[in-house]
Amino acid sequence: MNNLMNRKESIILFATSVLWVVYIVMLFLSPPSPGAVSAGIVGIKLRFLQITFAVPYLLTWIMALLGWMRVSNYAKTIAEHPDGKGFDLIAKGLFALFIGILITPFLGPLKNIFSNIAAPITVIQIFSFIWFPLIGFTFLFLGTRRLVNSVKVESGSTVLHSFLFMLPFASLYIALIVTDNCRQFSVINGCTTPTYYLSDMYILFTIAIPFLSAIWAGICAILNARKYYNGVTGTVYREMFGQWLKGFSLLIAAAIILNLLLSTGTLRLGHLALLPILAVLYIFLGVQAAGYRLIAIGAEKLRKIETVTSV
Amino acid sequence: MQMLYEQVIRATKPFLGPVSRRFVVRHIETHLQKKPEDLSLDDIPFLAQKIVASINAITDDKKTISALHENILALVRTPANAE
Repeated sequence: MNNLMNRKESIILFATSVLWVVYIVMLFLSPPSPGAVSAGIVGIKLRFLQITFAVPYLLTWIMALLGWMRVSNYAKTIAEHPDGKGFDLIAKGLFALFIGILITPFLGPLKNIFSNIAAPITVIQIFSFIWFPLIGFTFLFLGTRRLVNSVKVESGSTVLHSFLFMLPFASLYIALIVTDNCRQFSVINGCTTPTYYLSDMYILFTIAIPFLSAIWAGICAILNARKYYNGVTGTVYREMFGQWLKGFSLLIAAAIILNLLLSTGTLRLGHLALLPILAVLYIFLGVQAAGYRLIAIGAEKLRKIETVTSV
Repeated sequence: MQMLYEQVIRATKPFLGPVSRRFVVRHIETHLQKKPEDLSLDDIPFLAQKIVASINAITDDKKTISALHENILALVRTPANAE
């Protein structure tokens, strides 16, 4: 993939790597969170854990960046055609997801450094777990719907299927919120810090409903992209699009599960056995990075079909 | 009767799907320096060769490449075109 990188991509990648170094410095400057202290994770153990998270974050950032840039390049190549608008919307969605995964990790150390404003930073952190995927998945949904319309595939039961797929995620998510005794303002029931710092009404309208909408949009985007793949002709084109679709599906599925885990109280995660939780988080970070990588490779191949002319 | 370039697009559609029109038009304009409407039967073998060379750069599937080549060349043998 490296030999395909142009100058603009290299500059943006360099800037992202610099941001990662800033993130590492912030991690090392920040004191341990109350949750980490109560779980006995301090000193070397804490630093080691922080680094083991920072490395997959860098990998995910780079892959997400490449995924967005490659889809964006492909969309520009076919801008004047009906499928061009669809890929342009998808590129915008990938950009929103990239910005989300770039900003969100910074809020953790920031909260520990500025502990006097931990409450508003926590609210921003939880909102960023939810609103960036909501914006990103909405664009992905709109883009894939354009693709489906461009090949005139019947647009039947996507809504019904998406609700069926969504049901287990939605039930688990609502259950995690409702059973979280630390969710509101008050520090009760032995909670070191509240999960949301918000009243139930705000949790419902600014967190739960937007998050469920994001899941719904993400699942619809996968179903639409599959519908386009099944409806489109062309063995060579389908081979290229198939690779892109695998990445697209992996990315959305991993992003939904990761956000589900992270947005429902890192404090509660801290009460569970550390190693299995870490393993699950690493796996889904890895799957997300792999998804972005496949998207980047697939988009580059699709762009090649549009530009190749033998000599 | 369909214009010849439209027939080439139709012949490549099973392989290139939604990109076939853009792909064929680009190859006619680049290699033959013609408008698609001006494509003639004499151009078909050369165009087929150029299209196959480009497809070779994006897939290793020899069966697909040979079938695509054959589909385009078949246009020369179509009686309606030969008349």
